[in-house]
Amino acid sequence: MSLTLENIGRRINKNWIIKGLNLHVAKGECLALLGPSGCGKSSTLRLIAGLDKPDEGTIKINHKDVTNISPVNRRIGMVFQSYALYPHLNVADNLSLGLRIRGVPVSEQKKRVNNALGLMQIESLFKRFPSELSGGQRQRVALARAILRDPKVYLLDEPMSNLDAQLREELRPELRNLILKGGQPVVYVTHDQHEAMAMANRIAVLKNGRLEQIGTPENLYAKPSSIFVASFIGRPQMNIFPDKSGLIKAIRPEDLKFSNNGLKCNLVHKEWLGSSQLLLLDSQNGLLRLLCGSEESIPEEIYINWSSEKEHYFDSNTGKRIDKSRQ
Amino acid sequence: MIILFLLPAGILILLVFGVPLIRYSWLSMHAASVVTGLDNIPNGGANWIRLLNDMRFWKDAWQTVRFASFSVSLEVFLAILIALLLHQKWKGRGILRSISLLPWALPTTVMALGWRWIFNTPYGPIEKIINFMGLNPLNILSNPKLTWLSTVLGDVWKTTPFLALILLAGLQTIPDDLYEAFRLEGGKPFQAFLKISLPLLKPYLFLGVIFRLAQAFGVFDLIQVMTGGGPAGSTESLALYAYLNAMRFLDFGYSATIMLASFILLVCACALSWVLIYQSKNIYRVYNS
Amino acid sequence: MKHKIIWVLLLVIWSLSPLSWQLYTSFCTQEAITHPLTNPGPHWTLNNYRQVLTASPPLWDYLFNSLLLGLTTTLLTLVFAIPASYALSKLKPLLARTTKIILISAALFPYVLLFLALLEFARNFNLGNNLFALSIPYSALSMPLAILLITSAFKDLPKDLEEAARIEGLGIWQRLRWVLIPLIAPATASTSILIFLFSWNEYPIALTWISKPELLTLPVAIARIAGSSIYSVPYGAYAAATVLGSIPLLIMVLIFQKQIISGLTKGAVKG
Repeated sequence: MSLTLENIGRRINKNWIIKGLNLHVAKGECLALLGPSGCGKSSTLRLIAGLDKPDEGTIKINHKDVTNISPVNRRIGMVFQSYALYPHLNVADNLSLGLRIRGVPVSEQKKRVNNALGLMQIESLFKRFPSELSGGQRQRVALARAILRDPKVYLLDEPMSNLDAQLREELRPELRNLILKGGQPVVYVTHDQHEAMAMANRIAVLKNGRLEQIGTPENLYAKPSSIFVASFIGRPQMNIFPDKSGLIKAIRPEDLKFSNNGLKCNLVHKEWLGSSQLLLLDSQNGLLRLLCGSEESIPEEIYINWSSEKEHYFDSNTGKRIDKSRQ
Repeated sequence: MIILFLLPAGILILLVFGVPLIRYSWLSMHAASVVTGLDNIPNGGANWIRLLNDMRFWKDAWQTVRFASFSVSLEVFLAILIALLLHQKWKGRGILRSISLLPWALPTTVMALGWRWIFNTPYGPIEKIINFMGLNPLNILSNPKLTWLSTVLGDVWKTTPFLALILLAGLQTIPDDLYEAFRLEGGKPFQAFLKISLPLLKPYLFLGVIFRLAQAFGVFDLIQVMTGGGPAGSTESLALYAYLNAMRFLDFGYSATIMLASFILLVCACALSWVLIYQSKNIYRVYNS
Repeated sequence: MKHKIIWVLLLVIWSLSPLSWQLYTSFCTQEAITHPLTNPGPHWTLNNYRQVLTASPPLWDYLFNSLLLGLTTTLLTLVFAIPASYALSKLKPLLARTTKIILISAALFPYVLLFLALLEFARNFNLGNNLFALSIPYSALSMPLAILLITSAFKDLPKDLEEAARIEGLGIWQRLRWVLIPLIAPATASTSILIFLFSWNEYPIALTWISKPELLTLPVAIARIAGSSIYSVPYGAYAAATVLGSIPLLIMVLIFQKQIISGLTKGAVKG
C-alpha cells in the first residue's frame, strides 16, 4: 500500500496555491505535512481525499491513478480538524451512515460498527450524541469512523488541535499505534512542529504551496535545507544572524555554551522552564537564545562559545543551506 | 449542474415578480377597458398623460406618502422604545415578546374591522370616553381630518412589533463591553444610547425602514376594509386607487399605469430614506464647507 | 430604564387592548353594544358565536380553507426553496451576491401591486376559485424570503460535515436527505412559520382569485362579513369572528415565539 503525488499543482484563479509537489508515502509510513497556515497543507490533503481536483499532476494510490476518481471510490479514511461528526445522529448512526448508504446489510453494519467502537474502546458511547461527548471522545469517534471504512489511506487534518495539551500527549502514542497497525500510508497535517516530530516518520515542510524540505525529523533538525526550515523546526527557535563572510549563520540555542572567553553577552531576560532554562542574551550579533540545564549556574560576566561543527550556513540571497564541506 | 436546483424557484419568482412588471409596462401603453370591450388597443402615452393630469392620482399619491411617512416615523420611535424594553434581561421576557408580537401576527383585515368598531360613532370605546368627558363626538371615521390618522394608528399598532424585533436583533449584536467601557469613561445611559446603540443600529434601522416604507406604500388591506378609502376619498391610497380602476372601473390599462407610477415613487422614497439615514452627515459637511 | 414595570404595563395594554375590546364585544348582547350604560336587557350572550358558527358556510370552513392553503403553500415553498438555497450557498461570491440583492428587492416589493397581473394569470390559465392554485402565487411571493433564510442556514453549517459525507460516498441527494436537511431543521421551522403566517393573512390576491363563498379564506371572509346581510347585527358577529380568527394565531405565536423571532431577525441580520 502506498500513496504517490506526482507534480501536483492547484490554483485558485491565477494563483498557484500548490505547485510542483511530489510526495511518496510508503506502506505503514506516517508523513507529516508541516507549515504555517496558508502554506497549502490542508489543500494538499483535500486533493488527496478527492474533495478538490488538482489542476495538474497525478495522484496514485497503490500505484493506481486515482486523480479522476470520486472520493468514495478512493477509500479514504479522513479525520477532520472539527471531527465533522453529524450532530443530529448518535455515535452508532454516525458510524453506520456511510455503510447504510452503500447498502451494506444491517447485521454487517452492526458488526463493523461494534468492531470499530471496540478498537477505540468507546463501546459504551454508542447511543450518545456528539454534543454529549468530550473533545477526546469525539476524536475517538471520528477515528472510529475512519477506521470503519477500512481505508487504503488515512488522512488526518490537525486531529489534535482541538484538544488540550495534556490530552494531546496522552493520545499521541495511542493514535500512532492505531493508525499504523493496518499498514496504510498516513498523511498527517499539522502546524505544530513538535507534534509532527512526535507523530511522523518523515516530515514534509511546505511554504507557499511548494515543498521546502522532506526528511526524517532527525534529518530536518540536523540539516535544515533553508532558513525557513531552520526557524520552523526546533524550539526554542534557532539563532540566525549574518556572518562576516556574507553568509547567514545559524546555531541552535542548545548548542551555545558558557565559556571563559568568546562572544561577550549581557543577560536581557531569563525564563526558567523546569528541566531547562532559556536565556535571552544581547551580543554584537544581536539577541541570542541560549538553552541550558536548570541546574547550571549563570556566570556574572557571560562569555559564550560553540563548536564550529554545530554551525549552519545559509545563502543570504536564496536562504538555501550551504554545506561547509563544499565551501 | 447545481444551477438546475436554482431553476424551478428562479422561474417561479421571475413569473410572479418579473412578468407582471413587463406586463404593466405593456398595458400602460394600451387602452384596455370596458370602453374598448376589454381589448388592448395601443394608445401611445395616453394613460401616462391622463395620469399626469389626474388630480385624484396626485391626491392619492400625497395621501399615500403622508400615510407612509407618518406611520413609519411613529413606528421607528415606538419600536426603539419597545426594543430597549425587550432587550432588558428579566424573567417574563418571553411572554412579553409573545404579547408584543401578537398584533403583527393577526390578519390585517381582521384588525381593520376591529378598528372600525373601536372608532365607531357613537358605540366605540373612543367615542364613549369622549362622551363621558362631556365633549362633542369626534366622528373619527367620517371626519376627513381625523380618519387618516386612525388608519395610521391601525398600521402603527400592527407593524411596530416587526420593526421592534429587527432593532432588538441589532441591539443583541452590540457587545456589553462597549457599554461598560463607555460607562467607565463616565458616560450616562442616554449618552450611551446616542453614541453607541444608535450608530451601531443604523444598518438594522435602514433595513427595517426600507421594508416598512415599501409595505406602507402598498397599503391596501387596512384601508380597503377599515375606511374603503373614505370619507370623501381622504384615505384612499395608490394601491386602492389602482385596485378600484381594475376591479370597479374595469380600466386595466390605467390601473397598470398607476401601479407602475407607484413603484417609481416608491423607489424614489427608498432612495430618499437612504440619503437621510446614511448620507445626512456628508451632506451636512458639504453644506457647511 | 427606571420604573420598568410601568413601561411593561404600557406595552401590554398597547398590544392587547384592541383585541380585548373585540373579546368583550363578542360576548355582548345587541342591547349591551348599543346602550352600554343604560343597558336594559341581559348583558352577556353567546349568540354572536352561535351566529358565525352556524351561518352558511360556517366560520369553520374558512378556518379550514386558510389552514389547507397555509399548509400547501408552506410545503410547496419549501420544496422549491431548499434545493435553490443549497445551490445558492454554493455559488461563487459575486454571483451569490447578485442573486441575493435580487431576492432582497423581491422580498421588499409591495406585492399588492402585482395583483392585476396575477389576476390575469388566474383568468388565462383558469386558476380562479381553486385553493391549490392559489398556493402557487403565494409560494412564489414567499420564495425570496424563504430562500434567503434557508441559504444562510446552509452557509452556517460547517463545511467539514458535507465533505465527510462525500468521502463516505453520499451523493448530492443523500447528503441533503441524511445530513444537510436534518441540520437546517430549525431554520426550516422558522421559515415555515413565516410562510404560513403570510399565507394565513394574505388578502388582496385571495380577494381577487376566490369568489365562491365556500372557498373563501379567513381574511376575505371576515372582511366580507362587514358588508353582508347574513348577520343582522354586524358588530357583535364580527367581533366574534375576529376572536375566533385570532385564536389560531394566538396559539401559534405563543408556541412558536422563538422560531418567529429567529426567522424575522435572521432575515435582518443576514440580509
